Amino acid sequence: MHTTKLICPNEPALLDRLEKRNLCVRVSSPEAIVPAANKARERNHLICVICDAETSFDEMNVEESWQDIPIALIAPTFGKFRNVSRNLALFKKLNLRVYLPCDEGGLVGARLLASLGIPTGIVFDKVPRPDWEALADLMTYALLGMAAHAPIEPFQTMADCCRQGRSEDWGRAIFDDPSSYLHIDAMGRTALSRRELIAGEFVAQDLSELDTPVVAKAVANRRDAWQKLFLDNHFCARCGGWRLCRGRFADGRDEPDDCGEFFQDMMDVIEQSCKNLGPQQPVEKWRP
Amino acid sequence: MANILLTNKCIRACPYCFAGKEMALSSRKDFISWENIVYLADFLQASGEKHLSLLGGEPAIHPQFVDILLYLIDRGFGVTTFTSGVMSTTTREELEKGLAGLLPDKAHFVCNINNPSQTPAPKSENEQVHAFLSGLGAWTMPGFNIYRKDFDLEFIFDLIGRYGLKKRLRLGLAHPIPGSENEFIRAEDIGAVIERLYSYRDLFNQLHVRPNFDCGFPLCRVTDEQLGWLARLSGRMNFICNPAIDITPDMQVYCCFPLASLNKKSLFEFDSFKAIVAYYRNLQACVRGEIGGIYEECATCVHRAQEMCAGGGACQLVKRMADEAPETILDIVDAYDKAYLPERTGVA
Repeated sequence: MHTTKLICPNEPALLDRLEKRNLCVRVSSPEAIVPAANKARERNHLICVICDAETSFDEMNVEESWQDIPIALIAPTFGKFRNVSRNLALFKKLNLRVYLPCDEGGLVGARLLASLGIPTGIVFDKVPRPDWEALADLMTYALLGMAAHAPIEPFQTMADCCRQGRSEDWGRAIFDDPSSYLHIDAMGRTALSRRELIAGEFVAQDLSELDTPVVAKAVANRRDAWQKLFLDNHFCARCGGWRLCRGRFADGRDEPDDCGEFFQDMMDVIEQSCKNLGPQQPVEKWRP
Repeated sequence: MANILLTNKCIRACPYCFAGKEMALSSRKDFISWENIVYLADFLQASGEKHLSLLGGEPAIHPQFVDILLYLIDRGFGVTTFTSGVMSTTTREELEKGLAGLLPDKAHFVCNINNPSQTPAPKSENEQVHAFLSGLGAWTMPGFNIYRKDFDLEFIFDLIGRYGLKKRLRLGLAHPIPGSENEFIRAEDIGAVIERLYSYRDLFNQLHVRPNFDCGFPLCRVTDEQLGWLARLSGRMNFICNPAIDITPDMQVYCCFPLASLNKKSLFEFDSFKAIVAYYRNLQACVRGEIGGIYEECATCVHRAQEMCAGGGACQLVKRMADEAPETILDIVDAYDKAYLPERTGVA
């Protein structure tokens, strides 16, 4: 069994070419979740189905048949709680993690779902500039909330890495770390990130190149890319929040914004949470 | 039980409103945020609370009122909403849809209704109240605030029958607001109010409607005959005055509306809901230690000593102190905070 996880579209022809792989299959509608999971499981190990839906979370048709499928449900908006409430009992039975955008509605939605025991995640790349203050509020809730609640990614992964003294890219919590996930298109071409896949920036042109040193080297280079920030004397390299953020928001910015303060606050919160560990619910669900 | 104020805004302008002064002053934040709702749910859950109330202003004005109500139910709380019933058709329909299929023990409403002939309101308001009762009557207990001695209750019995409301009637005395001039029932008039209430006993009996006394009724103004009737009908009587604990949209806490000006605190100063209750209960005890009760005889009353009666509402006492010697109340609060707060509540 290969260890790298591949994120690929739900293309039967592509899936037939893959064997004994760890797969995340990406679909664009909730209706495709079950067929995609079944197809992926024919010859491979399914990590999860990533449903990048266009429908607001509250209006999605949730199905009982999703129960044995690990699902990452990425929704463009949270919607109204009253609609979510109607399906809450079913949501709780599913092996589901709901990803919401880093905007006002998304942050509120993530907090509400987590407080009701549903694992959630925040997607950073859907807004040009996160509201770091609101994000800090959610992060504090995620790590220090006084009542039991489900984890909120990527905060949970970041905190776990930090508590265990591991220096890892927390991007894997949001499927954005080539050391954990490679992105494949319908033609079998490989990219290091979702953004690069969409932009056509591939590190391999065919599935046959997946396990070659070329891809491994590209992944290693990306893993060590943070070193360039120090060589360039980038402001991220001098930032107090570096230990957690590792320059993830450096691209395209020529001056610091509030992200540094956020990550410094987060380190304080993690330190504090280490002292009173325990409020999180032990959620036996898949993790990215 | 915690009272969460979803908003400071209200639609009505009741002459007796004992929340009016606080509402007028608290314009800093109109609506409670989702972040604060989740914090409060966590705080109350961690404190072991199972029930809470939603208040306003008019809570149904909050743009996410239905969502907040359903969220708190989903968090496992039994939720009582105190409403005037005056709400938009959209909100009412959303409410009916949201509650459909839920057991009535999860949520219920106390609809405080004014007598339309004694407390006139625009026709549209009355129509909205009727629409609310028509749609959600089975979830609703009527409430009536008494602010005049010649109050007329007959209309409530008509509403209970017509809309199938719960057969209990919350009866509240309109309380004075220290430092303000709302209409309220004076201590010397409470006996007459109870006598008038007793005059409706045939209607209460015929329709099996149980009167529920809110805080501030003194036991000594109820005759043995009236007490016997109340006990037979209601099962249990209430002559106490405990802190209600109101929590504002910006997370301030106080004892109750009439005593909102008496040492308002930030919720974040307390570790648990029990600590808040203890803080205000002890503060009330300090005030009562100074005056006793609303009547001279309260000082030596055996029922008060046995805690069967609080000696009337603390707001009546504070109103008297605020009118006669305002510095006394400040001294009490100051001394209390210095001497009792850390010791009695564990709050630093």
